[in-house]
Amino acid sequence: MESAEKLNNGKKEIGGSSYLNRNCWLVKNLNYAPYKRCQYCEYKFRNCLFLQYQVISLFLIVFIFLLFLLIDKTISALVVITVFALVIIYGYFFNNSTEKIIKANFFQKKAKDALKELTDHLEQRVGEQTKDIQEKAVRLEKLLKMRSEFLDIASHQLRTPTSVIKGTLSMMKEGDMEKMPVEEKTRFIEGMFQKSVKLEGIIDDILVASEMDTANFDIKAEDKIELDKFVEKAVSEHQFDAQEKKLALTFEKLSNGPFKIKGSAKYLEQVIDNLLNNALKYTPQGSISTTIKNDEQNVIVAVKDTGIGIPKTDVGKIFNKFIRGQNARNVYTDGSGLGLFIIKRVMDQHPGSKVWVESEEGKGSTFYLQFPLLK
Amino acid sequence: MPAFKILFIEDDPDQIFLYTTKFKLEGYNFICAKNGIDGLKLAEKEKPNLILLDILLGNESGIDALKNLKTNKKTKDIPVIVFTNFTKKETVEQSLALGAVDYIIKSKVVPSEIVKKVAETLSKKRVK
Repeated sequence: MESAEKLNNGKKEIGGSSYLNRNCWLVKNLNYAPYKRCQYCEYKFRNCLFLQYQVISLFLIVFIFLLFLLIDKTISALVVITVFALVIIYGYFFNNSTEKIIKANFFQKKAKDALKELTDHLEQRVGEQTKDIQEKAVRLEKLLKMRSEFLDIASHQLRTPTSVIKGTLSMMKEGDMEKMPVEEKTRFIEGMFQKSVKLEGIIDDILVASEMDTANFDIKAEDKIELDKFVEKAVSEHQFDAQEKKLALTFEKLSNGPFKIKGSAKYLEQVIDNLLNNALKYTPQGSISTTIKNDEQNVIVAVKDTGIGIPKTDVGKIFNKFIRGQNARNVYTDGSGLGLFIIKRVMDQHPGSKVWVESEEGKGSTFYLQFPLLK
Repeated sequence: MPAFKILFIEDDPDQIFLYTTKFKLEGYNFICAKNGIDGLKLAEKEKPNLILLDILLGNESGIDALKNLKTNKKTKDIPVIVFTNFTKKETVEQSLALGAVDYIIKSKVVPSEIVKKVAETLSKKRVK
């Protein structure tokens, strides 16, 4: 029966003094018999034991001395005392040396434990860094793949208008134009002109995107712009393309204004142009509605289409460079992946402005541009 | 002898106009489709002697159109030349593996060269 017992790291304490530790590492690692103590309680026990040993020995010495004294055998008493003294001294040195061995083993174990802890810590750090490097390698591979895709598509986009221009000029050179009626000749010349304009636009996109990548890109958003007239003009310029695709393209003011903002006219023209071009490109049928409204603080432009929409997984990254929605890539729709990136970068350069999208795959998308109202 | 019939599957109107004009001047019967689905229907109906096929067709892939042409009983024997500005190596290999007789980059040739290539392909087929 054990009373006043409490567990303390595997030690059982009875009456306040520990004497038996079944979890002792000496028991487990050095095969000490269970009744032997770990360094901590061994040391304490040995001190206690040694003290008891000394006290008992002293009593014995005194007792025997008195005994021999009374029966007059002093020399015998002295010999017995000497033997006892030697035993005590021997016991002291024995205790000391075993104590040193136990201490040495203890510190060796402590060093081993510390080394293991350090090794485990290093392994963990190496594991974490390896994982980090692997993740970065995967991201880099994705980026390289996106870059390669972008180059494939950009080179196609650049080659297309040049092949029409080159083809037309070669026909002129070979005398084919002389066999054609005037209307066809005019059509060819107009086609060459349109293609050279398109080529210029693609080159501009690529150069703008590269320029936007630099740290000191600053578009100086200082023009005072009547945004409703700005957007209405852009919509009217895209009506021809909308009619070609049999899409309804509309513009509507949802409030009375004012719609004055501060921005870069040059870059905002590109922003609206890119939004409308995207809507036309990714809307096989239906309509594109452009609206503008204001409140006391902001002016908001929205371009809503009934197109292919954007998958949920792509919405968060659609404004990154080289990204096109997975559904757009799946259908190989031509697109450099720079349009939305350019829009985002331009909007970031307009203080207090932002761009965002709401979309449902298969149903369409709405892109929003918000600007602070110029008072 | 009736003129050879060429089907051009291409979505760019300027390119359609350019090659239609050239091939007609050279005496070919030149018909066009703007996407793969219409191209397949036209190929089944008109049974052209050769098909010129683009890869980037607006909202669809020319590779899918090529697969459909080569698996359709009525069109699988019509020689197809992939005629595009898309230069990705994997696309070239895939097209040739699917049965295209050639893969020509538009910007590398002028219209008279493609007319010559078509004539060579047709004469090889006739010899066979």
